[in-house]
Amino acid sequence: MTQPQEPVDARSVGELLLDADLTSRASLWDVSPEHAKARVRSWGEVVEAAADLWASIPDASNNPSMRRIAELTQGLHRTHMRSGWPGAGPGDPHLESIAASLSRAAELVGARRHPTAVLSLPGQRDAEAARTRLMHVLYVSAHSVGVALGHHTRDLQRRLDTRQSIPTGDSLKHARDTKERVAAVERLAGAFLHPRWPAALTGEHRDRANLQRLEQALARWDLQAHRSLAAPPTTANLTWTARVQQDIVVAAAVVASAAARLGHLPAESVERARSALAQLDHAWAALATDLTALQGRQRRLDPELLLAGREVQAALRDITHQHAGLAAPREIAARVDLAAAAGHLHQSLTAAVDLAHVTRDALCDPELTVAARGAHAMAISSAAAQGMAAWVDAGSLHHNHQVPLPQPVRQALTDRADQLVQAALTADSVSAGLQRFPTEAPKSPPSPGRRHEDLATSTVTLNQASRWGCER
Amino acid sequence: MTGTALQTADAVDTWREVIALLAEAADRGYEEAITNPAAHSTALAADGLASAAIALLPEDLDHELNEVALDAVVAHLNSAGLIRHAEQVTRRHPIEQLPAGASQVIVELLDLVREISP
Repeated sequence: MTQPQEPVDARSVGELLLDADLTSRASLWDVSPEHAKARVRSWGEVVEAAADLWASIPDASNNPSMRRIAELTQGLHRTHMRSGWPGAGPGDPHLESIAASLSRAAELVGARRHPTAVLSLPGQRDAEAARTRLMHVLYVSAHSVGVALGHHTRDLQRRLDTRQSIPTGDSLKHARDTKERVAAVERLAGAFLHPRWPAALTGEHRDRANLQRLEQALARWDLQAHRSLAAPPTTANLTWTARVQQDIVVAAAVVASAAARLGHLPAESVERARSALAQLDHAWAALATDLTALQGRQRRLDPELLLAGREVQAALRDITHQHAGLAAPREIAARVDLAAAAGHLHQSLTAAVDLAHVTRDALCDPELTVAARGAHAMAISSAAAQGMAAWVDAGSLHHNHQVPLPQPVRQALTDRADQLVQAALTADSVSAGLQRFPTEAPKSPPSPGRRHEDLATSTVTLNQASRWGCER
Repeated sequence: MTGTALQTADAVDTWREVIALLAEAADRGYEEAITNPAAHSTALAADGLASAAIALLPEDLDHELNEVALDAVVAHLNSAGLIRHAEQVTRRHPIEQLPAGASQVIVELLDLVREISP
């Protein structure tokens, strides 16, 4: 009787790397707190295998990224050996599979090539492709370790906050330290993969206290929205601004409602604000819907505005959401001081009054352009009562070029903006009851007042305004 | 070694499809938010990802995004379904063929898919 032979892994290097990529993505689906320590145990194997494969691929540029990642990971391993955390135990099946695929790929490449061999041009491209794919696997895997550790540390922190004991063998400090050190690897891999992309997006901000994160995100957003709209306006920037503002209004209503339900804010104050917030929600939504019809899928944004808006969205979601739905009031209360959060959101609603005015001004800017087809459709629909008119030339319509706003479209948008300003004013005034903090007068010297010439409208401004054609 | 080439026209077309799917997910999500406010945050996240994905392509081709035809199978998907479908579409090509910076968008897309999973 013959012994059954070990099955031979017949996959190519490309297939092994692709498998590692798909497995690293799959590891992002399973990131519950209990996966964290197993993932940390297997992380070193992944990096070691990746470093072996990297070393076997000829690299004329001698890029140091993988060397740094390997050194950081060895350092982390030494710390774990000294501290005894995470200790012995099972590894993570996803990461172990990735490590096995990368090790096998390293064997295949090492058997065929010498690392210092000179490559042809197609060979160099192939090697670059392999390094990119390998670094992507590390990047996604590091992220999965970080996300699992994030859940794990939040879980432990919650236990400490509620005066429960931490399970034997767990350590909040070691878990946090490891998360930071794996995040450094994620940043290094990210820098290799996309040097053009702002590093600020990479997630360490997620560990800040929810309230502080919210406060900073809202302040940054308010500043950036004003800056971006002060530049020559674009439909995409205006639409994104409206959508983020709408998200703030929706979150304000959710937080206020939870606060009222649990007695953190007077129910009658929240009830008074409810209708005004709904009106403001509708006003931002109506403007954004019109603008979306005018831009289609062309959503190229000022990068800073995009970052600031995404941070607001993430900060709000952390407080208000549980998976795809809203979190229960008690769950929201466990994450954040409800009344304080409602206070910050109300401050943002106050700032939104000015942003509504700035939005209206931007819509009046003669430099604002929109996609021809959307403009044509809206102009025809707006001007229906005045009969058919050629608001957009046929050539622009055919190629869907960017065109200045036809007058009926500008009129429709500024009407929307007028409603928005009114709704913002009402919401700000009615929502004052969401502010728990005592409002003390600032202890600054009395203002001497502005000089007469500062108050007067300049000739330049008047001329500009008359050009813009928004006044009725 | 890997049998692949860096960035191909096919892969850029795929990236445009991902953008179109995310933009569609955002727009449908905003509609869903009229009756379900919880959907707004997910729509905004998809919208932000669409813009992040657009930023990886040359600006002079933006107008072509409106010409991308979506598969008939997505016509009946809701916002969450479109987001999941966009993630599946990113798997058609190995990462090195997609525009530089795609890794981060893909990881954030995976994060979003996980967040909206029941």
